[in-house]
Amino acid sequence: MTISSLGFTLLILTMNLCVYSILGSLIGIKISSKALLKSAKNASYCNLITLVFSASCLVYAFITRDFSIKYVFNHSSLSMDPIYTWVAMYAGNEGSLLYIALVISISSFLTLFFIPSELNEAEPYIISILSGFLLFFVTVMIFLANPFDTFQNIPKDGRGINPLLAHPGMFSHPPLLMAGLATIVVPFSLILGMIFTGKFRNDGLDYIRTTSLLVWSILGIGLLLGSWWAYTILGWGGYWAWDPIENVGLMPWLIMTAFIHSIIVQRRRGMFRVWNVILIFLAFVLAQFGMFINRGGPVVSVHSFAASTLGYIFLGFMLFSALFCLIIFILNNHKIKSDNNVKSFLSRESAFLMNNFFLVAITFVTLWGLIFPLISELFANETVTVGAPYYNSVNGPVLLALLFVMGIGPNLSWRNTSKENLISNLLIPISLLFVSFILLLFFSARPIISSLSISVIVLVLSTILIEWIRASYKLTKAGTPWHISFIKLIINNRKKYGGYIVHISILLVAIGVIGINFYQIKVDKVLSVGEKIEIGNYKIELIEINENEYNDRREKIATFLIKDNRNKVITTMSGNNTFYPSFNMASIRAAINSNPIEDLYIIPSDFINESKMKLIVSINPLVWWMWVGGPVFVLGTLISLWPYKNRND
Amino acid sequence: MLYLLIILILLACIIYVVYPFIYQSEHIDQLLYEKNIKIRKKGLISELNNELASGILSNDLYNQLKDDVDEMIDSELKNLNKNIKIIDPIEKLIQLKKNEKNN
Repeated sequence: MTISSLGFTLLILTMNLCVYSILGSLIGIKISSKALLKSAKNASYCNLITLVFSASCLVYAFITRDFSIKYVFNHSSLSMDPIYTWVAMYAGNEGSLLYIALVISISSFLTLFFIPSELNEAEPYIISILSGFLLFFVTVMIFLANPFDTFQNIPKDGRGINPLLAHPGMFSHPPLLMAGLATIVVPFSLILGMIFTGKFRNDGLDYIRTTSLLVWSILGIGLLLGSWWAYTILGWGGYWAWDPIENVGLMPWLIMTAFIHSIIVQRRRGMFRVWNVILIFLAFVLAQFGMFINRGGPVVSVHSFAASTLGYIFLGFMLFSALFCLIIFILNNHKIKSDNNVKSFLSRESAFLMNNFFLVAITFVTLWGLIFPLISELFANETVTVGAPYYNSVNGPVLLALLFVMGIGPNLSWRNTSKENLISNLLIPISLLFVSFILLLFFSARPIISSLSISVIVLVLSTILIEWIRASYKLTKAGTPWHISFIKLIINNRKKYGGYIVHISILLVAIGVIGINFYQIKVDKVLSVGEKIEIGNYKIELIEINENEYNDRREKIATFLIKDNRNKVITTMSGNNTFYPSFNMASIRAAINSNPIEDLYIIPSDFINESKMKLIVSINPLVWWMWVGGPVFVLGTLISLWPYKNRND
Repeated sequence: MLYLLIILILLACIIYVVYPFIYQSEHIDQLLYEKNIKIRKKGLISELNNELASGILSNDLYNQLKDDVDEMIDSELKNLNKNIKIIDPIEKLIQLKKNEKNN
C-alpha cells in the first residue's frame, strides 16, 4: 500500500462515516433510539481521525517530494523551500478541498463536543447538517478532484509552488479565509437544528454567539492578512482592489458582522429572530457563492489559486443551499416570531437595526458589482468591467454612515432613550465631531468627505473612551484604584467591552483607509542608476540594479538610498521583480519603509535595461495603523469570547 | 506498515461507532435545561447590574429592562414545562421508595 492509496482509502472511509452519521441521526430521531443517535455522533467524531490521517498523508508526500502524486508534482519542486510545504498543501484545488474538509471535521468535532444541554434536542439535526456539508466536499474529492491521484511514470522534479504564494502572509491568509468560509456552517447548523426542533427561541444563543464570533474573527483576520499580502507582494500599491476573490470573502464577513450584532438584540430583548435566521442563511449561501467563484466561477480574478473546472459543481451546491434555506424558511417562518418589537427609534435595538441595514446594503452593492458584468454579458452581450471607483463611490458613504451609527449606538439605551440621557451621553462626542470637522475643513486641503470621515472616527473613539472613563470613575468612587477599576470594568462585562476593543480595531483600519485614499501622494517615473526623485520629504536615489538567475526564476533587484530634505540618510530599501518561467508569471515585491505616520512605498514596476527602470513611488499616510488593527481585533475578540464560569454542564 | 495503520484506524472507528449499542448510558440530567435557563437569566441580570453600577443605565431603565428579562425567561420556563416532563430528583426518590415498599 502506498501513501497515496492510504490517503484515498481514508477519504472513502470518511465518506461512509458521513453517510452513517446522517442516516443514524435522522433514523435515530424517527425511532427515538438514543444508542443510534450516540453512534451517529461518534461516527461524526471519527471523521476527524480519518481526515487528520488523510491530510497527514498529503503533507508527508510533500515532505518526501513524492512526485508520483500529481498534486505534489504540480505544487512543489526539489528546489522549493521546505518551509512552504504547509502552503503547498492548499496551493491548488484538490489540496484546498482536503484542507476545507479537515477544517469542517475539526469544527464539527468541537461544536459537538462543547454543545450545551439546551441544544441536546437539536443535536441530531446539527450532526446531520454538519456531516452532510462534509460529505459534499469528500464526495467531490473522491470522484472529481482527488488529491492523491498518481502518475504512471514518476517525474524527477515538480513544477514548484505558485510564486505569489511564496510569502509569509500565505501561511495564514488562505487557510484562515477558507476556514472562515467553511465554518459558517457551524452557526448555520445550530440555528437550523433549533428550527427543526421548533424551538428557535433564546436557548443556546450564547453558544451560537460564541461560534459565530469565532467564525467571524477567523474570516476577519484572514481578510486583513490578505490585504497585507496584497500590499506587500502584488505591487498593486493597494491593500484592497475590490477583486472578485476579495469580495466573496468580504460579503459573508459583512453579513456575519450584522448577525453577531443582531443576535445581541435577540439575547437581550428576544427580538429579531426572523431577521437572524435570514442573516445566517444569507451568510451560508454567500460562503458557498465564494467557494463557487474561487473554484472556477465565471468571474476573472487575479488571485484565484484554487481555480478548477469544478465551478459549476459548486454553483449547483450553492443553488441547492439557497433553495434549501428558502424552503426551510417558508415552512418554519411562523415558529420563529419575536417576543418584542422596537419600541422607540431612539433605542439601542434601533441602532442595531440601522447597523444591520447598512451592512446588508454594502453586501448587496458589492454583490451587484460582482455579478453585473456577468448579467451584462449574458443579456446584452456587452463586456463590462466594474472597478474600484464604483465600489468606492457607492460603498464609501454607506461605510461612513455605518461608522456614524457605531458612534451613536452605544450612547442609546435599550428600550428607549430619554431626552436627558441622550443629551448627556451625546453632548461631548457630537461636540468633538463638529470641532474636528470644522478644524479639518479649515486646515486640510483634502475633499470634504475625508474631513467628515476623520470626524466620525473622532465621534466613535470619544464615545468609547467617555464610556470607559465614566464607568471606571463610578467604580473608583467605591475606593478602587483607577487602573484596577478599568480592568474590573472590562472583566465584568467582557462581551461589551471586548466588542468596543474590536470597534477600536475597525477605527484603526478606517484610519489607514482614509490615509491611503485621501492623503496619498503618488509619482510614476523612469529612473536610471544614480538619478534621484523627490517626493514629499524624501529624496530617493536609485543606487543599483542587480540581476540574479536561479533554477526556477530570474530576479531583478533595485536598491534605493533614501534621504530626508536635509540630505540625512534615512535608510536603504530594495524592491524586486521576479519572473518564473515555468509559471509564466512575474511577482513584484514593493520596497516599503513603514512608520506610524506614513509608508514610503516603491513599486519596481518594470526594468527597462540593466541601468534603467520604471517605478511607482507613493507616500501612504497612516497605513501602519491598519496593520496594528489586526492584533487589536484579535485581542477584542478574545476578551469578548472569554467564557464566564457559570454554566452547569 | 501502512496496511496495519489503515486496519487500526478502521477498527478504532468501528469500535467507537458500535460502542453506544453495547454500553447504553441512561444518565441524563433533565433538570440541566431548566438550570441553564436560570443561569442565563442570572447572566443577563448581572450584565444589567454592571451597567447600572457603571452608570450606563438609569434606575428606571434598569428596572424596566430587568422586568423584560424576567418576562422573557419566565415565558421560556413555561414553554419548557409544557414540552419537557421534568422529573424532580426528590419526586424520583419518593417514587423509588414507593416501588421498594410495593415490592
